[in-house]
Amino acid sequence: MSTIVAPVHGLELPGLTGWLTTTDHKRIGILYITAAFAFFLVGGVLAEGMRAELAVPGIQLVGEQGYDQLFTMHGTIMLLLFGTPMAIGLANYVVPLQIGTDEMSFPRVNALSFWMFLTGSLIVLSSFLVQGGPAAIGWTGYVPLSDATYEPGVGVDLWIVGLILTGLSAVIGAVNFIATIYGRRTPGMTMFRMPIFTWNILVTALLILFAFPVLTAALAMLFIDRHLGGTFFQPALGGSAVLWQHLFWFFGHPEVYILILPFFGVITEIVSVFSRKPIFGYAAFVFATIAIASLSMSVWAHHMFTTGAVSNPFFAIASFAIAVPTGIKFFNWIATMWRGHLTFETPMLWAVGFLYLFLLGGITGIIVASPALDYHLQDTYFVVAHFHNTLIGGSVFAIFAGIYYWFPKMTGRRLSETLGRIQFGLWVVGFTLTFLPQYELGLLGMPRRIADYASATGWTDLNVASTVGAVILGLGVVPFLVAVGEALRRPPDQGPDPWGGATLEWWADSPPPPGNFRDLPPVRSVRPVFDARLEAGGGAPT
Amino acid sequence: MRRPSGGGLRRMLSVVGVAVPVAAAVAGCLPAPVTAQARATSTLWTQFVIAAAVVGAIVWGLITVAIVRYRRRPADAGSIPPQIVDSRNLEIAWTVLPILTILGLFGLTLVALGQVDARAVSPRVTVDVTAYRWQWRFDYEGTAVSVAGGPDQPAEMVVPVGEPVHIVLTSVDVAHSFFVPAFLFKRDAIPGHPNEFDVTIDEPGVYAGQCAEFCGVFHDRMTLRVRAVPRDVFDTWLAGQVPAAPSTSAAPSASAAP
Repeated sequence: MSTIVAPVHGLELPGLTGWLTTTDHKRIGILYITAAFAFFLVGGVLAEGMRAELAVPGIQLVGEQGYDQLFTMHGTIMLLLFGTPMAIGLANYVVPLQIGTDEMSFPRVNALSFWMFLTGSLIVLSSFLVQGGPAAIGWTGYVPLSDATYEPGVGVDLWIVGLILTGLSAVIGAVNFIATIYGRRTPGMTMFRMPIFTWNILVTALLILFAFPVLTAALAMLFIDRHLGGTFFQPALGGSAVLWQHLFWFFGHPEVYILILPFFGVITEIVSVFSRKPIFGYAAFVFATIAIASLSMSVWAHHMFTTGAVSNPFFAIASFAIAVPTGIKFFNWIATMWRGHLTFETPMLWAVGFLYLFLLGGITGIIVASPALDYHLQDTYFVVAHFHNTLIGGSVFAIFAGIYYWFPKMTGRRLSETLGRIQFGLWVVGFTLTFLPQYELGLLGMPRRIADYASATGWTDLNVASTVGAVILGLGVVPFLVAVGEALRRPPDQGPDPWGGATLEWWADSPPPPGNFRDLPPVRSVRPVFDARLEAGGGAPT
Repeated sequence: MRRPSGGGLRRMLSVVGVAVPVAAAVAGCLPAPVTAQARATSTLWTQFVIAAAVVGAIVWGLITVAIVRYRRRPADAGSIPPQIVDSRNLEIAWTVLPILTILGLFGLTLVALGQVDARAVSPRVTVDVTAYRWQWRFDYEGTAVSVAGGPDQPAEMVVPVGEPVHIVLTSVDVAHSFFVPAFLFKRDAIPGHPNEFDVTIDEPGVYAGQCAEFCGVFHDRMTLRVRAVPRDVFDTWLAGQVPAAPSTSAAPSASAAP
């Protein structure tokens, strides 16, 4: 067994100062995860406000302007202040451990990434405090509605500047991940022995490098139009309103894969560990991830089928094509479970929930990728249900799977199984009740982003059901918060490998000390920890 | 507390039990098509739902079999399952089958798209639809007739049934979208980018619609109606319209909105 002596690490200061000055990838990971989760709670409260307003016909609660601000900030927060940084946070904690190294390639750049992200996020949120309040333009910020004529308020400017900062933070974070994964893998870990989660983070980082600069550029152009006399997006002055949609979705569609590929990785790891089997079709997973990322760069205009400005058949077949690598992943997940010894501790419970629910999101994705059907469904609640299906039934379920899975590694404590099952039950019921009615509302023709609807539309019952579901989802967060609080009050009691894991993070202590590893097993396969356990005669995992 | 595996399984099965009937209910709940174009869309919807049900049944079924049949049992204690890592034939199978599926769906999509996007050679009625915050105006080409919605008068477009009506769609301010659910169709009204389409309504009636692209504070109130009438009624209606006074501005000020 080879031995690596951990290098001496810079002194980590105690207490709050330590957290503010840290360059330790694990602490930065926890900062990311904590901040992103806090923004998740904020975005969730905004969503509850929207569902309250929509529960029955009439303007009851927040008014039309308030409602528009709620959905703008809800979308912005959930996608850019929660989803993306949550992926980056998990990756920050896990990737260096999975590749058997002690730190990211650029620890101080890593700290810069986090603090830029937090600053940008707080700038976006500060728009709640200015006169006129936050932007009311949708997270998509379509022009001309977002230009100075129609939305002169400073809320839009704070939205632009804050998102430019978080975008730059994501880009330098992506560079750091690519450098780390290429340059700091432990001896023996070839590219094709990397854990699938690490692979997916590598591909996601590349996708961030391609996508986010386009958003930054588009936001800068919008700022120039608003304040410096620019005419990029002003048709009356030779600009193009359609151009914004192209730029936004050229970022926006890769972004939704940035929000799912890392979590495909989480699910792959968990399904394998809790089936006591190796990942079935490892190479297929890798190539499917690369295929999804590549295709995701050429499908942006399926958000624009109704604009009459794009080649609908091309973007339809390109979008359909993503079903092929996604299907490959599904079949390989099932094959990984096949003939295994499955147990359903909380991480696996969330992973199985993901498999059931994400499939529906994928199927409805094919439906809206057909232009003729999208002519009806675009900008209705069908689309809202579809993308919440992928982002909640997909990403958020996988995030909880990942948090339950790696919480013992991060803290040395397991989260309560009982509370975890209660939360899972509430979320399955809450999700189903919130979003299945929204599919039907969309079919009936209820447009998204409306603060009110007439009772004559007949949409009331389904909206009531959806709002009840949203309340259940909100209640479902409580057992999780209780579980975290309860676990952190206990003394740490977990060994390096509570689940019978296979990848290198389960070799380090829980939580790992600065420098991570006292020693490392030889890496001769994708599952060095499993190999070591087998050699030590303990092949049958817990 | 229930046993971990049993409880999880029952919950999973209950999800399937909910999903299947709901999916069946959703499939039948598209609004009845009232245009020639919508019939093509409606047929395509049925074809997609059948494909979705087949794919869903296969994949959900396999997941369910896996988690029921291969859950760890007491007899498994101390052993590890077979460590199978790959199967070339299976990988080929579940790559090729989805490719064939999406090619089939793409073919069906092209057929429907051809019917929905088709243009009549010489439609007898052309309506210029202008969207503005937060109303609609309908100008009938070749006439001086112009109909706009007002605070107490929802915008109503009167058109003949049984023949193609050509629509030219523009916006004078921000992006809007012309959406009538009974047509199973919408098209965006984008400033600087006029759009054109045809609609052939089969059945007389009044069909509600509204703006589908977020356009500002009163987006939710930007409703419209399409009243489809027999040709002779349409002719009478058109002849009876007082030609609009010469318009001084393209759109009323925002204060004229609903």
